Amino acid sequence: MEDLKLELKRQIIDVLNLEDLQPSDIDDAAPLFGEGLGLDSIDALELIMIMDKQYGIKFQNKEESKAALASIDTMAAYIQEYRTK
Amino acid sequence: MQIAITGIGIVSALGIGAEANRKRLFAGGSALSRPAILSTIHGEWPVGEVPMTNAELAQLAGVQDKAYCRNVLLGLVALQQALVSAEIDEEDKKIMPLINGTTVGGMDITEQHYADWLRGNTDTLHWIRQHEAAETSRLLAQETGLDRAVTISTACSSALNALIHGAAMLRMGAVRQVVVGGTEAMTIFHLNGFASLGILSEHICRPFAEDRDGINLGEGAAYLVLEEAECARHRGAHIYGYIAGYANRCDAYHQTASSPEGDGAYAAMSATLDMAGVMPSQIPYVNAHGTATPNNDASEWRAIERLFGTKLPVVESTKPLTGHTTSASGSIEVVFSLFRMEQKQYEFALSNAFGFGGNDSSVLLSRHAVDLPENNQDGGLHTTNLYTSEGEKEYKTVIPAMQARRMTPLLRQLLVVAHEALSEAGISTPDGIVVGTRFGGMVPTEQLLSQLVETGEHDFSPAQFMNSTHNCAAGTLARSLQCRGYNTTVVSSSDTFAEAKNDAMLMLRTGTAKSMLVCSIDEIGDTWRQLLEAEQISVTNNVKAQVIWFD
Repeated sequence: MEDLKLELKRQIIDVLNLEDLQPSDIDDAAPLFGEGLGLDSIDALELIMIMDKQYGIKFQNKEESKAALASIDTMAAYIQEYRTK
Repeated sequence: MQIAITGIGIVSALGIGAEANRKRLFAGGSALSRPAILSTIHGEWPVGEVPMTNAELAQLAGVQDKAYCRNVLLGLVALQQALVSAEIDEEDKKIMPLINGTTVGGMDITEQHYADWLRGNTDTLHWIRQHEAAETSRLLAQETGLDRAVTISTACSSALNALIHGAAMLRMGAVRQVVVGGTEAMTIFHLNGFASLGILSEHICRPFAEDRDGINLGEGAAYLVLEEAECARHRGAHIYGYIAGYANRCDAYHQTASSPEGDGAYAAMSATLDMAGVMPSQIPYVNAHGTATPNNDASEWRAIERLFGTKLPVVESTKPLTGHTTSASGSIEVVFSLFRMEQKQYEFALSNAFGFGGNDSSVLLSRHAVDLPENNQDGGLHTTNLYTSEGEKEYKTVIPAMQARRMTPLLRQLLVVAHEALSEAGISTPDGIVVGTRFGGMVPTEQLLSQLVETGEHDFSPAQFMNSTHNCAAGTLARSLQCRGYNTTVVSSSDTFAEAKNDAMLMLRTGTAKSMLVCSIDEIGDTWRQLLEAEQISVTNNVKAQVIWFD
């Protein structure tokens, strides 16, 4: 699980061009959007692509993706349960 | 002075020509279908294609012996109709400019040949010249015998901002007749781009409905001949209506999303009515931007409620009939508004067009002539030095990291030099921003084109698509400076800064702004540079900024 979280943080930093951040700067439990890291709706679309391309996860609707992408913790838990690759 | 509309030409999914469009508009019923002309793997999204192949369009325009991209062909058919319907004689055409709104240029051809070009096959590389949006306009002016062309590209409000530029030229007295509008052909590039944003609907779109779920992409072109009313009456021209007011404002909120309170939309609509000296209660009809995305319609509806209160006019969106014709939608919907105004005997019709980057514009049409404010901005102008990027300047004090991460290196430099120019002027937020560019966001465009070659129509990056538009820099400047005033992007194949400055001077002189930030950004990647050089086209990467203001 810790490995998965680190892998996720590295991908997020890379895909979202967060070049000044280190994986250790991202708190596992902190919100990725709004108050926490401060990502926006376009970042959400990029994260949905990561989930699809890397883990074979397709969300059925916005509520589902919103819940899954809330934090590193929720992303990792969702991936563990639903990954198809 | 008064501005009359004396000519119209239009092609859309509803048909070819004003009569065909009018009939089908009044009959209602959608002209959307699965893509039949665009060669895409995506059959799941209904689109509004103009029901003619390129060969048929070329035949109709009388240019079957030439090789033009679809954007030029659609534009040419509509432009020829506009000039014929206005009965402009050959001599007058020679001094008449075209102000053209477009974004895709020859992308439809580029995306077909890009794989060949990357492999070094140069047989089709001559087409790279038509890739440029400004080349579409130049060819349109050349084919119709017009004097010259100016190109405006503010994404989905391009054609309306072209109209505003043309109207300002008339108010300045620079010309007595001008033809304005826009053209946009569907491409695989922007179909997949809109798909990446998750906003394409699998149904016929439902603007303002509770269960609306996105847009349908469309294509088309429409042009209007605008003319000093006195000149039109003198030559006995038919008058379709008048321009009673216009405004271009910026939401300065987010690259793609509209603000919850519809600030940009509200500002554009209310400034338009102010210019006309008309009260909201006098407006019977609004042709809304109404794309049917949850976000646009919520924001636009909020702006309409704020402006009109409980006495709402008829609000209509024609997007379910034609699809969203992006850069052409502004002029196509002005034509539809004229049709409605005549059919229902409305005194006024307000038409909106909003674009990514928060580029929100409105125009007010009227059945009877309305006097536009005299331009009285003749005072002395101040100008700062011209700031350019020589060497890489430190940007981190000017741009927060979360914003900088989506900017290309030169866009960051543009923000730095813009701040330098504003600092010299002692102005923190200018009234307006004008940016000139040749290729727009070419670096992300190259990345997406390479991706099309490598993996096909899959997984476009939404961030790259947003940054591929020509108006990305102007929108970024607006957000950074919180500038909610006039905001436009002028595209040119020659001196991009000089073209931007022309637009800025026009707006300063006609009272649209008292201070303007004028910029240019030209930034292309190595792949595109090599391709252009093989065609003897050289481009220098650079940015420029200057502030011009009245006391």
